[in-house]
Amino acid sequence: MAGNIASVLIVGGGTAGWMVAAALGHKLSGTGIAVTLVESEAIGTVGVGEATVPHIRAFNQALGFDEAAFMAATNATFKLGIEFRNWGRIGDSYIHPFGAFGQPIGGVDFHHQWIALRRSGRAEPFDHYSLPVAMARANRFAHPAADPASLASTYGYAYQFDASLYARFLRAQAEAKGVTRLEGRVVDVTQDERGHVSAVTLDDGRRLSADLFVDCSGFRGLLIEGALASGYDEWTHWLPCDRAWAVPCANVGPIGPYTRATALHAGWAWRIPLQHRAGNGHVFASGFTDEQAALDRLLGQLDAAPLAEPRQLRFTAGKRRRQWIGNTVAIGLAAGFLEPLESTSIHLIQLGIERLLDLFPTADWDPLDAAEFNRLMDLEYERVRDFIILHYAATQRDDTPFWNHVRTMSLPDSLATKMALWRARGVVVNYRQGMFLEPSWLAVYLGQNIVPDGIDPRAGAGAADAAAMLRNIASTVERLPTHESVLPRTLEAAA
Amino acid sequence: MRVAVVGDGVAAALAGAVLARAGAAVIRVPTEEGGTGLGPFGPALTAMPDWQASDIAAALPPVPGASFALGIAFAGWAANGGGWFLPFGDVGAALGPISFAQVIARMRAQGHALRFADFALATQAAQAGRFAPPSPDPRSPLSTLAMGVHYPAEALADALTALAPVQAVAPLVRVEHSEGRIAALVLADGAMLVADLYVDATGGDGRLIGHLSPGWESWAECLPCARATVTATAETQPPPPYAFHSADRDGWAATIPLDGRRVETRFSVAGAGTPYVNGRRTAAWRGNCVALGAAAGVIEPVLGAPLLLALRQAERIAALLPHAADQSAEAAEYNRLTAAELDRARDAAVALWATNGRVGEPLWDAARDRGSDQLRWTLDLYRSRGRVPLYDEELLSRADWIAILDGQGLRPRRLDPLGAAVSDAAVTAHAGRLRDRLLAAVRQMPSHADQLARYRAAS
Repeated sequence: MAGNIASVLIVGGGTAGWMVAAALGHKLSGTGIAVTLVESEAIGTVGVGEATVPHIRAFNQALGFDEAAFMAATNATFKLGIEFRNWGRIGDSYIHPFGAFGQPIGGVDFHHQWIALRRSGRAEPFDHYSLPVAMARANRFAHPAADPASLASTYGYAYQFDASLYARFLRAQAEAKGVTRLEGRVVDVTQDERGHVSAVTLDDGRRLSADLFVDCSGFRGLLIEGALASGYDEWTHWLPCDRAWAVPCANVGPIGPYTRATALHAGWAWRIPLQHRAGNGHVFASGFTDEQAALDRLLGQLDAAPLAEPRQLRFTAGKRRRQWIGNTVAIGLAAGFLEPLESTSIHLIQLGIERLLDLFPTADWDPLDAAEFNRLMDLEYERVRDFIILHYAATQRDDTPFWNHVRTMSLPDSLATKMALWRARGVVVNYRQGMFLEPSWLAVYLGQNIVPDGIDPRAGAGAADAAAMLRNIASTVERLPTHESVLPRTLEAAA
Repeated sequence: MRVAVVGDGVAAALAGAVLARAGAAVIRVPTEEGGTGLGPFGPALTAMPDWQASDIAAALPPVPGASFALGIAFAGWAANGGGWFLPFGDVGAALGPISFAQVIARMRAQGHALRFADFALATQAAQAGRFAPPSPDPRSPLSTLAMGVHYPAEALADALTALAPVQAVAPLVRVEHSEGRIAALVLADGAMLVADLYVDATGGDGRLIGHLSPGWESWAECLPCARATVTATAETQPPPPYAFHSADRDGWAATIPLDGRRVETRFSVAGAGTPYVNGRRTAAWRGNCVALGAAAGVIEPVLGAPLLLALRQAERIAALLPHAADQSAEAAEYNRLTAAELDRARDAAVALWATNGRVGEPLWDAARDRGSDQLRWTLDLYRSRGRVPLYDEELLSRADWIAILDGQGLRPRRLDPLGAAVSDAAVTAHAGRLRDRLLAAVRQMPSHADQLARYRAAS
């Protein structure tokens, strides 16, 4: 049988690099496989205020992190969903929560009943029928209840945190598990006759060799693109945003347990409340607005004065054609980029790590490992891509050239089919693979006023039940503590 | 929403019940040709455990003549005529970072001869002729069981028909159609029946859908049998809680043990018997007509799939019940999902042929290593590192796939590198504990005969 490889070199720190290091350090402990990470203090990382999805909790739990210690170390807050402002039309607001909407009435899914109620003018906005949405709007938070019969057990949660502090936290965990950190900047990559990467050379002349290389070098993809020329599938036709400004400011008012994404002239702005400040940024399309105008728009809608100089980021939506080539696996921005509209960046890192562990290579370098990894990651990226595009495709805005472009652009076939089925009869297409499930699609469709033409003939008698759901949500929210009162209690537990 | 369901057997009764319960006004139209609508495979059906988890199965009263199923026993498919068991339910348990399949691989690497499926409670109980329904309590070993059922097709059709009120009319005589849609059904009493949607549950002939969508993709190259011969024998002995699928030089035979009867169906390439072609309709929904059961696709029941497939199709039609005359969005989605599911169910059946060990027999030599790209990928990955890729529409679980491939004698070339952190001694101890727990649980279980007597009394 094929033996184990002996060593892994992770190229690049930052969120991706240290997540890989912490996970490999944990999962490879006891196997005799050595894990090293090389990073340069001189190279900035992209980590800004970062919002996540509930899967992050599984990652933290699998690595044995204590929630309170993790939150204290990363200035984290709780997150129940994302508020989208001005996406369907200017003035609209809806929240995409981590949880379902309503319950079936008379065996008919709630959204069909809601559509029927809406036609007869008896429905409140769709997201009012969600407990985590009501909690978010009231700035309340509690951990989900353990009793599955309780309404308070029917949601998930994630975190908003400082990504560079998360990287630092992960670094401590990784080093405790025996991961070695080296300081240095990679200036050259050497390949062997098979095309595998055999070593990287640092600026001080040191050469680091390893069996497996994980490229976490960010957008540049030092190994996967620089040396191995993977190629890049560009998705800019559907996702024309290619720049961002990022700047922190003070929190004003209660700290919201949710992220905000506000659609602007040629892009959108995020607001991610952390414990001590809010991370802000503006993702925009340079083809539709100039940088200064974009910066002015960001600064013009901040809750408070900026706390630092705005930083600019540049990117191209898409993914590497092959994320694993030979003995090199790209994870994080080196693997691809999708704008953080649905907080998917860290989740895609996490998926890459899980798949790498599932398909961890052996010394014979069976090419099937890479092929299966690439097949699975392609599927994930494409399905996340479709969901992000949906937010643009499902707009009615016609106030700027940017919104006119995204409203009328041709869509990937996979998304066009899904939207056609929704419009015809309110059916959401589900897959085994793919992180966004039916409630997420419902949130965006109905939050952005895409209501099906066809109505389920069985729907229509749900008014009393739907009203009871609203009362139940309201009385449940009333009993829950505020996010700001839960935060210090959670953090004290870490002390 | 008026839905005409055409057909005589289980497929039509199932579609009628599922659609009526979903709120459609169902009219059942017989054809007087008989059959199950699930292929000419005889009057006994195996319901895989997922059938049992459905709303419709939960609503069924005990069906006379049914017996419980803990799995399927296979003989003659692997090399050396070796037999193996496909258990229903969980198999083994993971040990820290390593999956149970890896536990088995590690034990084998140490020189122990053992089989994956032997670590399922279903396998051990089946061997001992014992049966108990699965327990909802996760601490009970019985919670690892998943129950299947062997049904007499006619009694099942009757029970399904009784589940929901459906109108019955005179038999079908002729189908009126034009421009890719059914215009009306002409019935034996001269009446013309017009509906919003026509469901074709008439079996492989597809008496409705055949007019609108005749295209049929044949899988004869990978599943070469094309004749079925059925014999039923009265049986006084208590039935075993599993079906028996045995391969021989000229094909294979399924023995399904009902309560009081044993049904054997032989599947062969040529000769006497009812003809059929494994394959699927290129488009199962076209215009205002949708096919389910054998009218949509035929897969011989080597893994007991036909009833479960028909259920999934009926549920899919219920979820897509059209709201308007233009049913193209519904048809596109039904066809996409139905084709993907049938193709993957076919792959699972083909896996038995593609990995067969009957070397030197022309029928079997020709079938070896054939199959779709997706099946090849599944087998390659399994041989490489014991991994089974699961696709969007799967009928089998990962454990089912592993039990089949392990039973057929496929062995991964590599061990999971992450397992190196767990010592051989820990792996051996874990396997020993699991085996002890299984044997203790089997000793507590009642006999299948006793359980069946209780079920019979309730029916």
